[in-house]
Amino acid sequence: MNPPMSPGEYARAVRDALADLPDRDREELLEDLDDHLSEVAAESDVPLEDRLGSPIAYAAELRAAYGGRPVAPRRAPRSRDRIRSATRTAHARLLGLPPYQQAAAFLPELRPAWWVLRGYALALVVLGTLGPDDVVPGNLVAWAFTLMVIWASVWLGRRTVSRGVPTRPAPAAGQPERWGAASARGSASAGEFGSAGERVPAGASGSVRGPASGRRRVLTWRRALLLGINALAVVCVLSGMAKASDAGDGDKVAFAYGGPGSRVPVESVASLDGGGVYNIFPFSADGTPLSDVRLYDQDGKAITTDPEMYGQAIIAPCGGGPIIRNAYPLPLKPEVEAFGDGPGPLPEGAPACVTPTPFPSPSTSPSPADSPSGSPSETPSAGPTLGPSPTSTPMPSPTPSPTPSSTPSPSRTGKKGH
Amino acid sequence: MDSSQLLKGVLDVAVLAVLNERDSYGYDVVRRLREVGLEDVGDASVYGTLRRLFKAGALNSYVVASDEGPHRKYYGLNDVGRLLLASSAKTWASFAATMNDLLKEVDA
Repeated sequence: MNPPMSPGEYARAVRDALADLPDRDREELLEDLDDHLSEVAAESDVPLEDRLGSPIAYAAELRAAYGGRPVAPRRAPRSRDRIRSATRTAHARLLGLPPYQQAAAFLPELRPAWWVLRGYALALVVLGTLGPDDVVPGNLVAWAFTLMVIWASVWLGRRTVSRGVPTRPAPAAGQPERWGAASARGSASAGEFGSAGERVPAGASGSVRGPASGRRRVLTWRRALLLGINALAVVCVLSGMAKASDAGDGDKVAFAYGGPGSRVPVESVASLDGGGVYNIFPFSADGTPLSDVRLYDQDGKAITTDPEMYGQAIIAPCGGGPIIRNAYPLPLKPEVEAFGDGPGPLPEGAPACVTPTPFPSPSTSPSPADSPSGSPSETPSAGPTLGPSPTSTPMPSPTPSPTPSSTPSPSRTGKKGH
Repeated sequence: MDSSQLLKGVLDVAVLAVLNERDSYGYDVVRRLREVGLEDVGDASVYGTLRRLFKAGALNSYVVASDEGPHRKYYGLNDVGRLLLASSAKTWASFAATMNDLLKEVDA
């Protein structure tokens, strides 16, 4: 019979028996084996082999307890578990803060609100792909569809909750439940206690092999799908909010004027005396008055004034083209009041439509110091131009107008008469 | 049924529960488990379980020098370990209740 093994010899025999393990795993496992065996040996005089069994059997038991399966296939879940356990640790730490504690307690109560919002957002996405993109359903059908999607979303939410957590006590205020309802769902009782050598965080997600794993895979699938839907809904809600806040400024004002495209009104720049700007007279650098100048802002939106607010009307172009509201100077005439007390007849000389009019020269000759540097990014669409077709438009006055300024004709008739 | 087979399934939670009372080194865990009635528990099983729990991040460890004998590596629960113990205990409770319910008509 051999002499009793020393702890060192025993440990060496165990190491040999585990030689097939990857070096790193083996070293992690056996790091303290010598100290441990010395401790055991110090306890009594009975030889180690008699107390612990053969080194081979000891190694087999170690292997089973440590998880004797090959390491490689478990890499992926392990990193996921690490994230999960880190999350759990952070959660546990944060629970020390009263606000977090309260939030953790009341967040579950807000779930139905989320279900409704989620359904609304998803419905709007679908409607947005079919028709105009807006933050409110446009018509009755759209509303009906939206309500249907909300109903489905709530149904799905209720179903998930009732399935996920079979019998859970209402969370007490001081003891908020774990927010992964999924983790409660995941730990089927067989999962945790059924496999001895399972890795540790099996508490939440033991990978059960066997008939249950198929069902579990379906569940995982569903959870991933649900997660995707939720993420999509979050994006939709956020983008919808952004859109709503965008629509708040420029565009709404422009649409209110009823014109196509976007416009920005000119704010009162001459308001020192309380008067506003309702017309603009552009001049070139050498003082030449310019006509039919289209003004745009930095976004390519037409810059418009509001002459109607000052009792002025824009004269429609002769030939019936559309009124171009950002062609300056605007051809204006005082508005005729529909009701009695206003000045009845039109002022003399006011044209019924616009032709290239003699330019009103301002009394003080302005000298525009700088020419506008920024040209509009968006080239103005070519509408029917007011100016350059003077010949085609008939003047309201008869053609052989006896204008005193036209000198040659009267003298000639005089000669004929003689 | 061999109770050592059952023990395999619950050794993790048993070790965690022991360490939850106070930090211990390997052989002390074995001794305390045997004291509470788990006589069948194997030394290698406990040692392997401790190393696995430590590797998985559920335990912290520190070495304490002792006057006589080797240094002792003490293990204790960290936050992950405590959460793991709590969830395992919950699972065990429901599992045990189910089994008791199932077996209540059977004469032991």
